[in-house]
Amino acid sequence: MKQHRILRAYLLGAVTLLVLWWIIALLVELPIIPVPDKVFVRLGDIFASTIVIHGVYSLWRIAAGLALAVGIGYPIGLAMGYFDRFDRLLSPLVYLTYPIPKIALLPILMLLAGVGELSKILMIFLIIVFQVIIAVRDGVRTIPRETYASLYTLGASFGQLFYHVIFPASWPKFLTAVRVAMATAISVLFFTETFGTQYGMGYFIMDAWLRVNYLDMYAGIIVLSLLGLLLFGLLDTLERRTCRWQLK
Amino acid sequence: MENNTIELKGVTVNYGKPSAPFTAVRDVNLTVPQGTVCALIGPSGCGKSTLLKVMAGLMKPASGTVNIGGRDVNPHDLTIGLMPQNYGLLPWKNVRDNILLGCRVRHQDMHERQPMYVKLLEQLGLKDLLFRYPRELSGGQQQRVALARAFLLQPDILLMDEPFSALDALTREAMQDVFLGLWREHRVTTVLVTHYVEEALYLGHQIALMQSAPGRIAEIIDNPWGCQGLDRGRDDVFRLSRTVREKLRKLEVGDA
Repeated sequence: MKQHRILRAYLLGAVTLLVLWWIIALLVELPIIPVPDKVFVRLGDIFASTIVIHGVYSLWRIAAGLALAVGIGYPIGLAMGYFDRFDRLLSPLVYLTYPIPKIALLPILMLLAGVGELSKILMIFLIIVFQVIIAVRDGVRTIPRETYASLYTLGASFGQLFYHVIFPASWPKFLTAVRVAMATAISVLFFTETFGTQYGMGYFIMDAWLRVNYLDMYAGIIVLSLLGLLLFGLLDTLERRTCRWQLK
Repeated sequence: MENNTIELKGVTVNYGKPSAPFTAVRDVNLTVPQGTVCALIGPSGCGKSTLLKVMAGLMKPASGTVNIGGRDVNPHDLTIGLMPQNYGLLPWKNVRDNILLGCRVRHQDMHERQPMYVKLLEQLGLKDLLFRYPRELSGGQQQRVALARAFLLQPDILLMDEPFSALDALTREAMQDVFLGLWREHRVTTVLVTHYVEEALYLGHQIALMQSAPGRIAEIIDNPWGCQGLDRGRDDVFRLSRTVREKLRKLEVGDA
């Protein structure tokens, strides 16, 4: 029932965009804005043969960057949220580096880590990791002390506190942070993929543009947008499944 | 039978920096014999909850000793059931997992507990609520879940911090009866913090009157009607309640 409503909302959104696009294409009548039906036919033609591999590359970079950011950011945020001393020590560091637009570090990253895979993954890592650290820290910090009380009196170990209280209590904030960071990560990924690689949605779209192949370019943009939809959809589903306890 | 008498001797608890301490309770002596209920009653800020925290092992007294059956308070050796004011249910766990939480943390044998679990669900009317989350329950229902958790744990001692305060008057009396029923079966040594004279009289074998600034026990009254489940409106109960009220009023005036 609810699933149906969500699906309908997404369809409505897609149809609205398509109609707008169609109207603009018909009004402007320029090759730079082709009509959607031609683009979709092209997409059908080249998806399996060409685009898929670029999509997989982009997805892999996002997944690797995200995994790295969670693997490193989660423990740091946890330590900062649970132990005041860690927070006092690390907050200045985090606050000083967090506001720097990470894309400004790209030249440095490319010099240090090369123009290949590593610098792209590190870029995504840098964007997501701060959001994760801060969300987890705040999530852990806002757990009322009394929540721990009945577990302390049972002689719970830190592992048990983490499993029963800390992890589930900070989980919704963590998911929100990943979602917010994801949008930035995808747009920056696009930018980094225009250098030093022959794979990835960023490369594919820019390459099509340089070849003045607007149909290919638009097909790439559609796939990039669907990629985002897929990632956000996954996060939303995960949240609905795991956070039922707090949804109104 | 195991001995789980709670014994406080000269307990003083300070808050704040050791250089400028604020004394929350001073020189408290209290003995709660095995298998009885002690009600702590007094004005707010008199250190009732602080005493409970000390017995729960959440705070260390600055001086004095706390013994349970002659042993130090150590959450690893003793099973301490604590029911905080807000029931202490975890919002992300459903009713079933909340009830089983205590036993899980203590690594108790779930198989052995199964018959008791089923019986408690029956007694507390929780069978149809197992997969609800706390926010989907009324205050009375949350209280039942907390009681089920506490009694399933079969604790050595049970500590309750104003457990029935957030409930409306009728639900409160009903929950006191539910507690009474469970307590008579298990007879766990219990300390109950309350600010209702009726509740103290209905449930406490001993009633410890506290006064504040600094918190200490002013008087301990033996209550022959504690946990008897007698008619709340009886004349002699009413007379004792008037005496207790009178004493509490004097204590509060004395503070001011």
